[in-house]
Amino acid sequence: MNATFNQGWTTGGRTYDWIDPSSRFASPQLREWQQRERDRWQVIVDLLLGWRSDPSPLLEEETPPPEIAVIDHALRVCEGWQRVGQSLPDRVLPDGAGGIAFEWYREPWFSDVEFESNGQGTWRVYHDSRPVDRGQFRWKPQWVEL
Amino acid sequence: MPTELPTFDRPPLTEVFLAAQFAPLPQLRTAHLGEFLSALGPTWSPLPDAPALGQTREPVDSTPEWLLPGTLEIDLRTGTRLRAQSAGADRMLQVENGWLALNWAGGPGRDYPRFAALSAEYEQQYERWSCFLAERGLGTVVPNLWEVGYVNVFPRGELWNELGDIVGLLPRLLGSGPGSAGALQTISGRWAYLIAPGVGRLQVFVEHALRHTPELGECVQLRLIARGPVREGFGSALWQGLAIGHESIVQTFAELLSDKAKRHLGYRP
Amino acid sequence: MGRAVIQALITTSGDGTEAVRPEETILRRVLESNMEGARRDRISPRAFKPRAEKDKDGLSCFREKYHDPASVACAPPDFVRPRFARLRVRELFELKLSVRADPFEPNGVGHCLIPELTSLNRSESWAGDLHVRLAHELSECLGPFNCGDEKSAA
Repeated sequence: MNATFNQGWTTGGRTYDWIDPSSRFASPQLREWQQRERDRWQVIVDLLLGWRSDPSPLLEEETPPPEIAVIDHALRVCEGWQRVGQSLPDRVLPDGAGGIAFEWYREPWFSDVEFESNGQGTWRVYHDSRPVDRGQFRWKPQWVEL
Repeated sequence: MPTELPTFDRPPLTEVFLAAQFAPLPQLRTAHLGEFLSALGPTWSPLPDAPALGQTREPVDSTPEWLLPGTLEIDLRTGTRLRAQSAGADRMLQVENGWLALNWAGGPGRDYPRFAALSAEYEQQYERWSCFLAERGLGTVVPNLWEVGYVNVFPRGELWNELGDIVGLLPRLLGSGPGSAGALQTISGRWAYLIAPGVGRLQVFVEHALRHTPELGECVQLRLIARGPVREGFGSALWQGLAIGHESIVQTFAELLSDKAKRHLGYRP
Repeated sequence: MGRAVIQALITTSGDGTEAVRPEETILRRVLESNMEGARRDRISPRAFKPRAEKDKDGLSCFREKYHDPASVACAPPDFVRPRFARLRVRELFELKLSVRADPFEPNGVGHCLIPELTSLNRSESWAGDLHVRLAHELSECLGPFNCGDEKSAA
C-alpha cells in the first residue's frame, strides 16, 4: 500500500515495520480462498500461454490471435494484478485485432480493459449497460522515428 | 467549509508531501532527471533510486474501485525515480517521468513549516521543472493528478500505552472491539472518503508499527493522503487541488482526535 | 455448401431482399472465445464488434425467419460449440440502428447487416457503448448447439 504514494522517508520497510503481518494468522478458509484465487489466475495464464504457443483454436474460429507482444504484456499485467490483489477478471479474450481484452462482470457494473496491438489501451466502466467512465493509456512506449 | 483552518502547536508530523502526476513525456530520459536534480546545487545530495510509481488514477466518482490504482501501466517504461535530499535532510525532491514530489521530514528540533510555505516551495520546484523541460525541448508538463499527504506518528507512551488505548486517541474511527477475542495484538485500517464527486478522495490509514528512528519503539502511524484529478490540465487547477486536499486533511485530522489528544498537541480551533 | 444443406437451412420462402420488419428477429454468431471464462451467462460485447474483413459494410447477421439457428450452427464453417445471439429488430430500431437485407448466393438468403456498425468505426467510443448494450441488454443467447442431432442444448 505504501509504495503507491509519494512518501519518501516513511515508506514501509525503511523506517517502519509491521509488528505482526496479518498473513501469518490466515485462517484455513482464507488460505483455501487464496489457493482458489491462485488456481483461477493460473487458468488465465494458461489461456494466454496457449494462445502464444498454439493459436490454432482461435484461427479455427476465424479470430485473429493476439500478437506475441500483447500476450507477453498481458502475462506481466496478470502477474502484477495477482501480486497486488486485483480482483480476477471474469473473461480474457482476443479483441479481434491482435489485442487482448479483460472483462469484469459485477452486475449491475461491467468493466473492461483492452490492450490493443498498437500499444494503446482503453478501460471502460458501465452501469446497467450505460457508460459511466472510460480512459485511455499507453502500455507500450511510443518511439519517435528519425 | 470555514475559511480558517484549525492549527496545532505541536503536530505529531514526521512527513508531509506534495506531488503532481503528469502525462509521461516520450523523450524524457533518466539522464535528464539526474541533470534536473543536480541543478539543485551541491547542498543537495542524491538518495538511492526508487522504483517509479507509474501513472495512477483516483476514483472520485460513484464508480466502484474496480481496478487497483497503478495497475494498468505496470510495464510502461517511465524509467526510474530519482531523489535528492537537502543538506539538513528535511527536504526531499523526487522526480520520475510522470511525477514530481516535494517531501518534508519532521523530527526532533524541526518545526513544521506550514502548508503555505511548503506549497510555495513546491510551486517553485514545479516551475523550475517546467522551465527545465521547455529549455530542452522535452515537452510541457500536463498535470493530471494532485496528491498531498500528512504522516503523523504517536509513539507508545505518549497518549497511549496499551493498544486498547488507541480507541481513546481516535474515538471516531475506532471502537473498543470484542472482549472475547483475546488480547489485542496489533491494528491496522484504511478508510477512504470522497471529498466531493469529481474533486478528490481522502484516504486515512491507521497502522500499529515498529519504528527504528529516532529510536526503536512502537508507535501508531496515522496517515492522511488526499488525491484528485487535474482535469483541466493546467497549473491553477493543480494548486487548487492541493489546497483542497490540505484543507480536507487538516479538518479531518482535527475531527478524528480525542479532546485529550487535541490538548496534548496544542489544538487551536 | 451443397443444395441439400441450403434447403435444410432455409425455413421460409422468399429471396431475402424484402425489408427487414420490426417483428423479426436476427441472429449474430457468438464465438466460443466470446463466451469462455467465469461468466458463461453473459455474452462479451466483443461478439458485436465488427470484424475487419467480414463486417466492412456492417455487422453481419442472419434473419431467423430464413435460418434455423440449430441448423446454421452445424453448417460449415465448423465452429466449436456454436452459439448465437438473438436480437429483436424492433429493439434495434429503438436504438436508431437499422437492419438491411443483404442476401448473397448461394447460402446467405437471410443475410442482413446493421450498417451503422462497421469495421471502420468499431473502435469509436459510441460504437463500443452500443456493443455493450447489444451484448448485455438486447441479446438472448442461443446454444451451445450439439451438432449431430441438430437440437438446441439451451
